[in-house]
Amino acid sequence: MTPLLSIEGLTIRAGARPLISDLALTVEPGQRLGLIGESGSGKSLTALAAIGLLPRGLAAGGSVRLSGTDVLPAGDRVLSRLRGAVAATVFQEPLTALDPLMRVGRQVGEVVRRQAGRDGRRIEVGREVRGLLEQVALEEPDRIASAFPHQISGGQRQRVAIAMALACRPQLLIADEPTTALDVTTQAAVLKLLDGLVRDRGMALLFISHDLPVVAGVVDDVVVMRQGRTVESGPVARVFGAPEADYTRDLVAAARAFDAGIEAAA
Amino acid sequence: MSLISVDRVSFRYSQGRLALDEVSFAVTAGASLGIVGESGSGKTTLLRVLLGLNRPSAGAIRFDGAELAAGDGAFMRGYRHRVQAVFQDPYSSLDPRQKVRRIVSEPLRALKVPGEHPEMVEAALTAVGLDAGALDRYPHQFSGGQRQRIAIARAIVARPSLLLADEAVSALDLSTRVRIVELFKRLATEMTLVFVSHDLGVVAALCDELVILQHGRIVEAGPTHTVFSQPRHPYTKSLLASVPRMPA
Repeated sequence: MTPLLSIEGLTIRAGARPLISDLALTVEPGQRLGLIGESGSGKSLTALAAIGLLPRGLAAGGSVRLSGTDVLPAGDRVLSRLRGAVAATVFQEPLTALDPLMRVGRQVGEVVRRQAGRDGRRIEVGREVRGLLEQVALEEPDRIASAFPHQISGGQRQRVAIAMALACRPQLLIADEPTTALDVTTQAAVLKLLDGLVRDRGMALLFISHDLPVVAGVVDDVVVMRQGRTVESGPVARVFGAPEADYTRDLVAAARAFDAGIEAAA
Repeated sequence: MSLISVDRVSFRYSQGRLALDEVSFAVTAGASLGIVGESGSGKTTLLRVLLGLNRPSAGAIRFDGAELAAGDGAFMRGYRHRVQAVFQDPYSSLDPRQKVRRIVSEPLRALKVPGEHPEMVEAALTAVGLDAGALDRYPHQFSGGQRQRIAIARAIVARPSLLLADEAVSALDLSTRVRIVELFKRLATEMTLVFVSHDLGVVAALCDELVILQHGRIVEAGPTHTVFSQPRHPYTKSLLASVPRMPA
């Protein structure tokens, strides 16, 4: 079976400075992989590379295959066929992912219409949009659809961004720090939603985050990155339970220290 | 005796809803209080009121027995000498054009603090774990964690009695966050600390007492241990249940 995402020997440079060095990872259909790293580790750049959105001026080598097609040399025509259908992305800050001048319903509707055009389906856009907003557990979907992004909360905006990703019926959902900008109670609700949606649809998930316990809750396997290189990878239970690299050990110890603080306080 | 006490303080931004609604609490000298809340809870507004940047619409704040008089210049100069703050983002809180020496010594000049300024600046840097080599460098030459150390050095250089911190570790990477929390813990043994945060793991590590804010109101308050072990308000319970934990 062809992996949905297969990255081999990926190297990305800004001038002479390496940002990512010899990175390799694969995501099989239905697999949930977490990409962990601190700032500057290259995790978000990896997400951008995976969907052919690398900023101009960066030199990339190696290969990044989405469902078998190398996206690094691919042009817009090939990329637009892969984006959405193979992989859709949810970013950290939903306020910048949404057009501030367009009502939420119209933005979701655009994706729905394009997707229906691809599939050759005739649909009623409004009903489809409403259905999607319901699937991401937005109460009052009609009010949300007629609102502008600034008129709804951060959690609601992220749910809208997830709805837009789902509208593409992707096989792989790439989520880059999707709950980092959210409050802790909202984060818990959005994580639960993501978990359920990925399970129900049998999607694969590439979940990128700096937050170890959040990652541990949603994925099966993890890759730990630091300064553009893979430090360690394996099943969550093994990497967090018995980390082999010093760096991973420090990260896990730091995360457990805050957990222990809560345990001790209680 | 309480160093600072907040008595039924309300605050309303012009024509908005109440951002703070009859908030009351007191912090004993030497203690550390955590103010916990999510976005829109009023925690940053509360901190601005405590700093004298916003004047309460109702209620009063007392510092060391005297009522905070935001309009009284002489009083506020004395107050700022004794109350200093550290903010969330060490990238925007340090002037990029100034060397660390000038940044850290700024409160000493602004407040006309008597004494040997160079020695005080070096002592503050040492207290936050930076060496004198940092003095002639610019903020961009430091990592996020080091910049937050510089911001903390600036806050403690005038030897305040009360340190206010607004999400002061939230923008830092995990391993850096652990070290800066350790630094705050050490400082909390020497001064009174009010630490505003949405992060329960951080306040659990740092604070003796907690105040939980929701929609501008205190929904629960008490010793950290009591709030964590026997939360009474449904909101506190949901906050605690929402904290992601590491697998066993």
